[in-house]
Amino acid sequence: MRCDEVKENIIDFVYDESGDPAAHAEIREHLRTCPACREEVRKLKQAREYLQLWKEEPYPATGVFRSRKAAARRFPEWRYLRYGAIAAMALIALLAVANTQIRWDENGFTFSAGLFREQEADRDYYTKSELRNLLIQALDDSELRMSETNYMMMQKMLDTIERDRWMDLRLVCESSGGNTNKNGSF
Amino acid sequence: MAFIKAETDEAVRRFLNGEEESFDLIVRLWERKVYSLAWRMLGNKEDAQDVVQETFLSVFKSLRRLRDPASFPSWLYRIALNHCRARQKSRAFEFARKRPASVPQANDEAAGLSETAFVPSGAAALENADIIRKALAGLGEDHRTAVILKEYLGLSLEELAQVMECPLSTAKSRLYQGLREIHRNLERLGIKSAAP
Repeated sequence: MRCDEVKENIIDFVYDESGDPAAHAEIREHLRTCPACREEVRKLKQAREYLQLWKEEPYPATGVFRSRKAAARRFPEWRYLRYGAIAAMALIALLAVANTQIRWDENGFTFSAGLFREQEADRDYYTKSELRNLLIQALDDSELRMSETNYMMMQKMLDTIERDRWMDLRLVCESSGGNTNKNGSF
Repeated sequence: MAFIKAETDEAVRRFLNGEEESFDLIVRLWERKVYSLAWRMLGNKEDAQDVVQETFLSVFKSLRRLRDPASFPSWLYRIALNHCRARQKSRAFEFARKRPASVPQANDEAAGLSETAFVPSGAAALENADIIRKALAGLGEDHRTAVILKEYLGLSLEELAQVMECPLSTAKSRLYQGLREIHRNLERLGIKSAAP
């Protein structure tokens, strides 16, 4: 037997587990003539002897494991706790994705959520409806303070916007085949 | 060992057939071995006791999914080893934490392997055990696991391969390397002069 073959079987030899007495006999024969392999086997056996100096720790007399009933009782709690945690995390994730807004102010509690709602871009214009409301507000606020000319001008603008709105509405209804009466009123 | 195996197989089969009471027998048969494994791996009683507790809770929970009752021992050891690993990670465990004051301090990297020769006085069991623990702590996890399972749990080489989920040749190689490292570490620690 060569040194490399001894090395392959050295653990079986040291632990005497090969189940092949012939192989062990060959190794023993090799060891008689090979100091290097002999030294290797000696070191392994010595390491094993050293390891046995660390004695077994006495097992606690009272045992360690709680009763099976305690284990059985413990698991439902674990299970429900785990499911609860998973549900809470899923809910939080959903609310985050849905751009949830929760507000508490003088108007009370408000909650809004929109799944995949588009973020409203910052606008630099007013809609006609908004402009109309602003003009009405301005007319109300400044009615007494403003000059007759300004008041008339604002009133004119308001009329123009109102007319535009109605025209837009009529166009929308006509294009969608909506119902308008003969007077063109809605 | 054969007696334990037969009893274990029977208890596992009964448990799988719905007799939960048989779990008590399984615990009685195996808790000392699990404790021994955990204690050798972790090096302290409290952690070892916690690992026993966690291991059998895991076993109770998942034993019904075990397909082959005959594979119970290696399955059990794997669970215990997983709990040992988890505990080591969570606690940034120091293996030789409770060493006697007379033993020189050393860093974890070298696993307590000071170059300064340390010759234990006589054959004081406590000191020797502590040196062995330090020498083991210097091994990589696979080598240490192989050595502990083989030397202290008495597994056969084939059982070792099953627990470590590797080919037999790999298990032998890990054990071989582990023993060589142990010998080298112990020589550096100076145990040579007190060699048996």
